[in-house]
Amino acid sequence: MTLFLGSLQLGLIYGLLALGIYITFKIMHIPDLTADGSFTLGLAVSAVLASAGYPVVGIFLAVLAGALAGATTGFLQTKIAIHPILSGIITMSGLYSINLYVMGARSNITLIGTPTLFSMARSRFDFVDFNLLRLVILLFFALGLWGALTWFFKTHLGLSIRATGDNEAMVKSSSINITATKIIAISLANACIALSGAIVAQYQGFADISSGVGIMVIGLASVIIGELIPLRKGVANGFLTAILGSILYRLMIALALQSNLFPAYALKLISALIVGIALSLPALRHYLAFRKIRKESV
Amino acid sequence: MKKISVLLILVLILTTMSLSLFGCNNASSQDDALQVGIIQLLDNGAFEDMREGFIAQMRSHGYSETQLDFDYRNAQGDMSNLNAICQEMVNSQKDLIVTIATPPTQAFVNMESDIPVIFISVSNPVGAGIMTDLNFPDKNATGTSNAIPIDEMFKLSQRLTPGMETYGLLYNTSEINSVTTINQAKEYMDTNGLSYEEAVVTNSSEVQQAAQSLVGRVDALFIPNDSMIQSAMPQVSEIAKEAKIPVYGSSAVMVASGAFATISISDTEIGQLSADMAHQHLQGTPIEQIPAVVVSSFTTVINQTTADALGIELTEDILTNAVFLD
Repeated sequence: MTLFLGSLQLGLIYGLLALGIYITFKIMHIPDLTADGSFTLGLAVSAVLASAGYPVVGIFLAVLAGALAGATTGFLQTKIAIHPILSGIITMSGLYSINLYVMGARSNITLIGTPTLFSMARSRFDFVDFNLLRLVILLFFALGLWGALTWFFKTHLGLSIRATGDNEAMVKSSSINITATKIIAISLANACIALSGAIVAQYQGFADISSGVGIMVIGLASVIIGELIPLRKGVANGFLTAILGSILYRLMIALALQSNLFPAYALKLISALIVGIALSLPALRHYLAFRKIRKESV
Repeated sequence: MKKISVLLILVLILTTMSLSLFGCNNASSQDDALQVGIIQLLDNGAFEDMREGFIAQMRSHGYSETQLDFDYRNAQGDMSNLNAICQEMVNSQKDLIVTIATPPTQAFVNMESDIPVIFISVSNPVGAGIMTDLNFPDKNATGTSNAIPIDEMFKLSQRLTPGMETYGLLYNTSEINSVTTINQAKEYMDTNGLSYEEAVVTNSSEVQQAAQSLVGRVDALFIPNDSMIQSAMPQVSEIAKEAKIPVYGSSAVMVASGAFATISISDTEIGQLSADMAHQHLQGTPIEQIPAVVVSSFTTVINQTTADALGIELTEDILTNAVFLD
């Protein structure tokens, strides 16, 4: 049962990351590579403050730090007109040193035995199974962020951001400040990503500087897998598919780990296959639809 | 198509759930073999030697393949998969977990499962939070710590190449093991009147330039137990040879790929030592009564080719006591 509950837990934590990636990738249509850096930034801030005895403050400050990192990328993209991919890479590389600075020039901070969000909750609700309790806490975060983002993207500002992503030229001509909308969107995305990192640190009991490696791919995979879930279009459902996609991705990894069919070194290939197959399904859908039409016309 | 996706998703959820519910039963009911899980974060030569050493030593302790089953998992550098692997190991109710280096050990200890952990090569177990005292493991985990013998290393350097004053420290900042060693080295040099220059890297493409930046500014190079520099050692040793600078490494693997000399315990031996502790536990000693071991028996390893290229004359007692590689 640990594996199933664990996969749900990891799915929800990385679902927060997927929400961030969804904002930049699906709503803004910008490839944002800040993620690897801002995820670790959230992780670092949260771990440092938790080890000083302030786990909750750590989560809040991590979100702020993530937003700041996103704003930097947004600034580079808009005001300085650096290509979106490059500006993400610039922020991400710079963050590597900043993250080490935050962690006090150590590459690893342990939280084993120090109070975290989860251990605090356990001491208060010690009658609940710890695994279930963690699931409830993570569910609270995921649903809370889902609700907040859904609400925000229906406000005037949120609608302006969505419009910027859809048709920049049109939005510009209706005198909306697209520099502002872009920076806000990227900040918001990286705040979500940092929140994900902040919770990972307290969840896994340590922060390591290499925790963010390849995190962008995990987020993208979740968003893409989420697209397969047949829900009506719309911003609330869109965000929901990102979280569900992340859970599905974790379940698939869990399945791959469960089976003893593959040698240990095949893990990355399997995750690549999962993403590859998920990506190819829309094409298959087109093909099937096309065949159906052809059959009917004969 | 919609129906197909819904069906696929349902099948996926159900299989994972049923496998995770019943997976534990069929794993242990296959036979009565002890189930040992090995968790590794990423692929590198030193970790592989440790793992091989561990497995070979367990086999030589008399655990045959029918009696003891190894389940080796590698997160391939992905921390999120590291957590998933730990959950899978708990779920399949392993009898013993073996972790290599710091992050996997922390990740598994944090699971707070009842499964005992034997770790291999955690350079600072107390600092990593996996025990509060090396002599009394209190978190169901014990194993080997391969702190590099800093003072021995510098004494060796003074013996082989007397008169070195400034050492170049080349390392990557993302590995806790290597940063710990570097801090100890700095402390040693500060108290012994030696000076140092640092060159840090964040990925392997930066190693060459970092090494070159030290040429002309230092008398010798010191490399901690750093897997990134270790992988790029042929490059580093070429640069050092050209500049006639001796390179002191932290593992025999580094010397084999061109570093001048080291004082080391082989990674295979560290794995074997951890296996001895695992054996002790499986024989009935509780983990709390098996103190963590800071590995302390070392041999001098020298690369003959590099020594010749640097024109270093070796004295008789070194020639008889050291191990030579080409």
